[in-house]
Formats: sequence, structure tokens, C-alpha cells
Amino acid sequence: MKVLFLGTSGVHHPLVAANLFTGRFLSHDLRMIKGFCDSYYDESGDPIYVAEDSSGNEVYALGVGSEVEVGQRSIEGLRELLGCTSQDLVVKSIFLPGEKVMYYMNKIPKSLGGKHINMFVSNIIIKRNFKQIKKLVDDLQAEILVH
Amino acid sequence: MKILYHCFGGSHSSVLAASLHLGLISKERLPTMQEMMALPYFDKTSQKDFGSIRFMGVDEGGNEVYVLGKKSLGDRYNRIFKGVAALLGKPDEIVPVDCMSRVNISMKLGGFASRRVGWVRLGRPVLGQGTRKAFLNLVNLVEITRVQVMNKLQVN
Repeated sequence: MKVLFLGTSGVHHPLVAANLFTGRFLSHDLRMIKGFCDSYYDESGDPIYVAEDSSGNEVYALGVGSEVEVGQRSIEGLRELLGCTSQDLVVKSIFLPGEKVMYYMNKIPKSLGGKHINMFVSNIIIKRNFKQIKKLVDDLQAEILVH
Repeated sequence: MKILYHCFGGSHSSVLAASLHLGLISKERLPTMQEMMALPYFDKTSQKDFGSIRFMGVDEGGNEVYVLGKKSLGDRYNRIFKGVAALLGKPDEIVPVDCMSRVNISMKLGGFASRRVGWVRLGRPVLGQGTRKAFLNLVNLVEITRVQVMNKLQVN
């Protein structure tokens, strides 16, 4: 099975959730997460592969911009179109206060210190909402285990 | 293969492109507003249709043709769709086509007035005029897509 975390930007909260899901997020230092706040990964539009969890599920993060619900519906539609089900791909959207701020942080050019500003602001937003991300990940893990 | 035409609302340019692809409307002459209105989904969608992939028909090569309204998800959407298809192990089964590059300001304004604000009587004539202006561009986009699909099928 593949698990895809969706958000406004793939290199912020969905990436943190994906790392939590795989059990790779141990240090509580967001800067240690590979690709965190790196807009390069987000611009490509490809799902960002994080790792496999202990059950062998491949976990990904993806940023779809400001319309996350529309993104989720269309990706689920594509899944059905290609003859796959939620047993093949689970799509989970994450909504956080400040998610659009993080999305726009990706647009600041690196030459203007974009990465540092992005890292600073995103760090604050994600740490404030960390419990919410953790709960969503725990709920999803429990849900997958039941099925 | 599945061909997916997408635009902002999934109501005008993508529907017209899919209809041209399927031969539901002639590419030889500019369509009238009545002909466009007779097309399935043309200027008939609502807010809840955003993100829903809708079936339009099967072309002569057996390819399924769909339309989608992606709202403001932008031009990255082709890559997102290809990326997700690759994730599912079916990267060559989908051909996403972004119609937004062929849309003019009259189509945007008319479509916004008709679908978003609900000013159908004001928006529809502006939309019709814009669509007729963009028609040959859409014909061109469909022809390019058909060639791409044929090439893909030959490679596979």
C-alpha cells in the first residue's frame, strides 16, 4: 500500500506527517527532516518519497497548492480511473492554521534569504500545531491497521 | 489510455476540447452558442463539481476522454497527475492536458460571471464570444494531444 499525505505545500506539514508515520521523526528538530522547507522538491509536482513504514507501506508527501480539497478529490478520482482502490493508495489531507502562509513562504527567492525565513516561520507554525499532526497520523495508522 | 482535459472550472475550455477530441462538435467551423450549449457539461457545472473527474466518451482509438475542473491548482497539475499515476504503477495510462493556456480573458470573465456569480444572462454572451475566439487554439491543442496519444500507443 502507498500512503500520500497532501497539503498546500509538500515540504512542510505533509512531510512532517509522512516522517511521523514512518517512525523516522525522532529528534523533534524539524530541520533534521530531509527536504523540509526545500521548495525545489515542491516545484516538481512529483510526490516526495519519504520511506517505508514497518509494515512495508510506502509513504509520500505532496503539495497541491491552495485548493487541497479539490486536489484530494481529483487524486482519488484518478485512483479510481486507473482501476485502483484505497487498498492501493490512501490519500490523507492535512489542514493546519497557517498552511497558506507556509505555502507562500516557498515563493520567496533563496537569494533574499527565502529558505531561512521559510524555515523560521514554518518551524513556529508546525510546532504550534504538532499535536494536531500527531493525532491525525495516529488515527490514520489505527484506521489502516483495522483494514 | 485515458485522456484528461482540465481547466479552471471543468465547464468550458476542457469540455470543448474533449468534445472536439470526440468529434461531438465540428472543428471545421466556429460553433454557435446553441451548439456549445448542447454539449454535455458545457456551462452547466457548479461548485461541487470542482475536483470531480467526469467521463465524456470514448474516441475512435478506444481511448477514454474525461474532463476536470481543478480550480486554481495551476499548471503543475499535469506533473502531479503523472506523478500519482507513476505511484500507482500506471504512468503511461493517463494523458493529462491543461487547457488553461488556450483560454482568453473573455472566457475567464464570462465563465466567472456565469458559473461563479450566477449572472448567466450577462456572462454567457461574453463567454460565447471568448470561446469562439479561442476555438482554433483549442482545435490546435486537441490535434497536438491526438498526435501525442498516437505516438504513445505506437511506442507501447
